[in-house]
Amino acid sequence: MIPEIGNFFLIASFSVATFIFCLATFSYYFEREILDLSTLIYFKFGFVFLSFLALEVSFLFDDFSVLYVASNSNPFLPNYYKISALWGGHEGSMLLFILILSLWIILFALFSKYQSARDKNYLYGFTSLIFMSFAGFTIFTSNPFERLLPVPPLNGTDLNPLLQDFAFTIHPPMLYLGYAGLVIPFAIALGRCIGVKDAWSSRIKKWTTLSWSFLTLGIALGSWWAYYELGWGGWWFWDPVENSSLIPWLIATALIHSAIVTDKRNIFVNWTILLAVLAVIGSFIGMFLVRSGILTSVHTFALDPERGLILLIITLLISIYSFYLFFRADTVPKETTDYTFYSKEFFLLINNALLLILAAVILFGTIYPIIYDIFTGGKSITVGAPYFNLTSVPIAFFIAFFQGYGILTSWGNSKKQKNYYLLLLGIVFLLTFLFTYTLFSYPDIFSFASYLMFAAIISGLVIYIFKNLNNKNLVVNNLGMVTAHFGIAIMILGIGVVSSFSQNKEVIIGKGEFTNLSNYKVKLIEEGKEEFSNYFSEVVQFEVENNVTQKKILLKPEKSFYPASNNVMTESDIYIRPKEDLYISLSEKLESGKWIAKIQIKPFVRLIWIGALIMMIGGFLAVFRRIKYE
Amino acid sequence: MIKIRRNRLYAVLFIVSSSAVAVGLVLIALNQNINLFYSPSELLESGPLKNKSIRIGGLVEKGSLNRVSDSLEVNFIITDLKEKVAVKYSGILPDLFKEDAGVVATGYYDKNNNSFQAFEILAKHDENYEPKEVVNALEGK
Repeated sequence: MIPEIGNFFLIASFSVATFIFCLATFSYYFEREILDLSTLIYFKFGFVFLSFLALEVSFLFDDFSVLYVASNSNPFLPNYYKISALWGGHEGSMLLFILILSLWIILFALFSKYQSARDKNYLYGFTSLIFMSFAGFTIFTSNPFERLLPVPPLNGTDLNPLLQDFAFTIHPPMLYLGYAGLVIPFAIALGRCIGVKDAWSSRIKKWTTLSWSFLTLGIALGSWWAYYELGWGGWWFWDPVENSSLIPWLIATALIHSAIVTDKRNIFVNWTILLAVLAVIGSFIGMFLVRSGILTSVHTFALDPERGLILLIITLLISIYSFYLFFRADTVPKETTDYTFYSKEFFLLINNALLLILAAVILFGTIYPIIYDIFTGGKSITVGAPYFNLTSVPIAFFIAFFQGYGILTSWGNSKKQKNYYLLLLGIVFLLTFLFTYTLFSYPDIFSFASYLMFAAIISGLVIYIFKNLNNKNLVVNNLGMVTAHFGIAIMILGIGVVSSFSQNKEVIIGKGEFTNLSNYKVKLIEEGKEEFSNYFSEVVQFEVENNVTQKKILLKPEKSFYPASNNVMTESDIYIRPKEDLYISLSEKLESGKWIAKIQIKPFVRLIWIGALIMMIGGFLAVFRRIKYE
Repeated sequence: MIKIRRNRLYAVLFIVSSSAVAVGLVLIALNQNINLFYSPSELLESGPLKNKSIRIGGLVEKGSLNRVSDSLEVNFIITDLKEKVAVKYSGILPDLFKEDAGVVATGYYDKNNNSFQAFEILAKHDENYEPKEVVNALEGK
């Protein structure tokens, strides 16, 4: 009964969204006053929430007559993971996505005040269009409430063990908060096309920054999860799924910067609208690539080409609709401001161009296998990680340098000002020199590039703060920006160091034997078995001794077996130090009783996620300062 | 007005030149970093250049997996149920790598003795999923 109730409310929310969209469209074309649609927005959220609860209840009570529960849960799964198992597969994650989307729409309804209710109704119409597409997609192609009747299985096939993990429980919700949030600037931009002007650019800036912060956290959580849970210590694989989250992130980053210019100077108007539309279309394309199974990826959802086709059609229809509104609109303001070559406007334009080129290059590498397949009649290729490194690092390098100098420029014209670039260059080289000679003996080209990038951004920020010491308000108001830029610098440094100076060793090791890596002596001292409610594992204890400090600690990597799904998992164990991680994972036990293990040293790897966290905090600071400020 | 046009010119020049650089980078990178996929039958039909890295896929033949005692080196045979290729690999095998299951290996092919030196081995990600290429290779597409 409960799944039927859930299904009913899911359909109800879809109907409400369709109704809102039709009513808003009607009101626009016939220029009629209609009721305030806010109430319906709350109803819609309530319906999705009830539907979500119904599915959670089915999970908690092990209702295996629901196909989705049967294929993603198991009676022995701890309750905590039963709750998160809801977004462990395609159907449930779609439900989570539309729940989060309707939550964003409510936040928008609550916190953005419009002068005329009619104007706001139009924006509800645009958000409901997206909601309607996804709710419809969920109901008709991937309904999580589908039943396995009349004979339900006694047992579920269990949640994929990779997903039975803390980071996974919060990674998809954060990521979806990021993706779904981009729908709000999308609606505001389309609203601008039909003449809703209330503070539109500052609103785009605010909502984009907020969802960008969640997107940043979501991507970083995914990377952190992959690092310790996939078992082999990689933190970014240029996998299609990762790329399709990075592309909307890059577009959203460009959008924030372009909206700043539009807000301040009333230029780049069309460009801001276009980016807001592209950000949403970009995340749709990402969703299409991931869920259609058209690309081979580590993240496998139950694949179904029909779903892919429908997602593609939805993406196309929404693109056509948005571009129709965009091209018929008269958005270019009559009065524009002028700017020169040495102005903040021009630097932000460069930033936008480079970010979009970077996004395009990554998109191209991701879909090249499809293009190749089509043009060679079914020949299959993969584009390796070196492609992405080779193309994205140089572009990112230029972005970092323009970023470092760009924040020192002023609006309009910076020519009459002092030129800081000599000072900037000096500091860059000094910092790079210091890094190279204090951290490690000799750098390779990638780490050297990352030092330069780090130094360029940091010195730009330092000069910025010193230059504006007598104007504290400016620095305080831009604290979010400074923080976020500091975060990306930290992340770049982490990426450079860990990519160049990681060490690893694959060893065959028996009880009582030891091996050395860098400053550590790693000794296998004990083997044992442990049993848990839904799996059992072999645990191997290693004693790690630091040759410098003589400190000893124990690491216990595991090899786990999950009988319900017949799955094997590598659980690594990590000795976390401020300077580096020592990472041990087990491969297999040989006939001789010895283990194959991989021992790795990952210097400063945590800077990558700390950097992302700082960026997120920067985003929040920027948004919430502004709310107070207005 | 002239100023605005001049700004536009600068902007367009910048975008065109940086796009050109990006396209150049893409072409160079694509030239070096594409791995073509072959099934064992295709390998025997039209083997690739010796020094170009490729991917091959199929099933790990039953009974073919053997490890050089107490070392990281393994030998096994990949088959598409028509033809076979002997694969050498030194390193850690994925958790779900086993005999009679799908596998994709990246590495270099030696046509003279029909052997493959792999530097990367991918198996299925979970029990229900089979790499797309493996399915196609087995169906003989």
